Amino acid sequence: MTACRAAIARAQDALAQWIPAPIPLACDILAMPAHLAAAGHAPHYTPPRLDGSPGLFWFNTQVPQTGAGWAGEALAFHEASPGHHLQLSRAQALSTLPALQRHGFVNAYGEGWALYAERLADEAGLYSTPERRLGALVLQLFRAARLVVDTGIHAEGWGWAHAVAWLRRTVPLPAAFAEAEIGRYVAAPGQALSYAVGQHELLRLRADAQRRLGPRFRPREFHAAVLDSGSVPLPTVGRLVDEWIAAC
Amino acid sequence: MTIAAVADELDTAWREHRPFLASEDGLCAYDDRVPDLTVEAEDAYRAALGRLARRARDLDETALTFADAVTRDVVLDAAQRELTLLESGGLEHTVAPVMTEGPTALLTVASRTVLRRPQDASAYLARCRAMPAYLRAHVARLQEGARHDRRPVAALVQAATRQVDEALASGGNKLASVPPPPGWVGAEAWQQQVARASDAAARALGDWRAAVAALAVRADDACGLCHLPGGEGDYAALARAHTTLDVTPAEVHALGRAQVEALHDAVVELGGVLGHAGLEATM
Repeated sequence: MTACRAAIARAQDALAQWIPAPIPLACDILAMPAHLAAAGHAPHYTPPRLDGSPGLFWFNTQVPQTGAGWAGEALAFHEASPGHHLQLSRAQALSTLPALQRHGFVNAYGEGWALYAERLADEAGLYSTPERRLGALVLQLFRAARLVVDTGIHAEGWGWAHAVAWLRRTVPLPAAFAEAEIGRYVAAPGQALSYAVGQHELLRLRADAQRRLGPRFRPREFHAAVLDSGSVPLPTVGRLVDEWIAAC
Repeated sequence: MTIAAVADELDTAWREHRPFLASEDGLCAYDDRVPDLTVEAEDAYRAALGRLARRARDLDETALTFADAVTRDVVLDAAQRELTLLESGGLEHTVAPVMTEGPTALLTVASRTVLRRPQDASAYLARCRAMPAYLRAHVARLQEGARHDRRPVAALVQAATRQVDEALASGGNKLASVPPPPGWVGAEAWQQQVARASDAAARALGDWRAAVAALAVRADDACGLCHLPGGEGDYAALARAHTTLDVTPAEVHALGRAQVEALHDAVVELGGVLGHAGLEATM
């Protein structure tokens, strides 16, 4: 948790180079309730509540999960800043938008942004050691593997044992964690596709904007175009980027 | 009607369908409710989604500003995603210790509840009292699914019933562990009422466990949606809904394979530079 706090502080300092004002305040990190931690819940973020409660990054201090060890900094960038906390806090402040866009959560957009944020942190050199950067790469590999396993199970008919074996062969994970992951994919078909597909689409849109704008491309303005209509489906992000490019 | 009004109506319908999530967002108007899992409630929600999507589609596109057009995209996407989730019938064949309706949601409520005012305490008591009916409705939906050969997966049933067993063995559902508002004069009587509601919920958890243990299950080797009647089409629709893109499962699978290959090479290369031979050593 200490390492995550330090990583989030570095990201907060870097936010101004990624997005224009207003920059949200950093979120806090707390240990999650004991019974959730014992059940193996993954570290996660809960956004600021309408009653004024702040956004919080909940950490599992009882059962080691993804995010423990070398992957910790990547997880902090994903859950807090520049990931979920930045995106959701900024959206909630957009008072002219309908609540559906300010408080809604479109998985492919929200999880895609958070995974994109891990990459953004790497591009800004925010990982503190090469090992932490390696941890981030392994987490990216893990999310890519989800695309194969989720579709493998539900469209290609993979059995549970085969899915666990393939996942562990591709991303060396503890057996219990791999089992829990497969359980999640089985319980919520397709949800796990949103992360890597969303990131892939955001990276594609950014590359396209860079190509079209050349030296006029500004990352801060690109990110504002992506973030400042709240939670939207990915094709709409494409429309927003097109509109921004046309106005440049 | 403006697109903003349609969006607000959809947002309200969504929150009424998912009051636990509304509470997590800090909307205290929903704190006394539990999800209505009955077929009738689902049908009403489905009808509302269809009606709102039609209203959004029927708006004159030429009269919309760019911001309005964005909102219309969001409304149509959200309505379609919710309809897809309903059509896939997950409620009738999913038992799991995570991310599902039923005991998992119940066991999570206490840890996410903070009571500041007497009215918060009253709302929480009403929610606790509604838990047994919530669990009974969940069982009824699972039994309905089983009648149509849509059965839950064995490994997840085992994990979910184990979660319930552990909760019951360690003092129940924690509903009575939520402290009353600080300094409230009605605290003592309220705590007794919550304790009784908690006991009733614990009995309902036991009933849920017995009913689920009696369900026929799907073998772990057939854990995918494609093994259920109509499951192939359901999954293709869910893949589109969760990615918001017009992609097929086969295309997503191929994208994943390509990403895995590229990232594997990057991991092994950086791991090698750091003196770790092979993928395993990087972990």
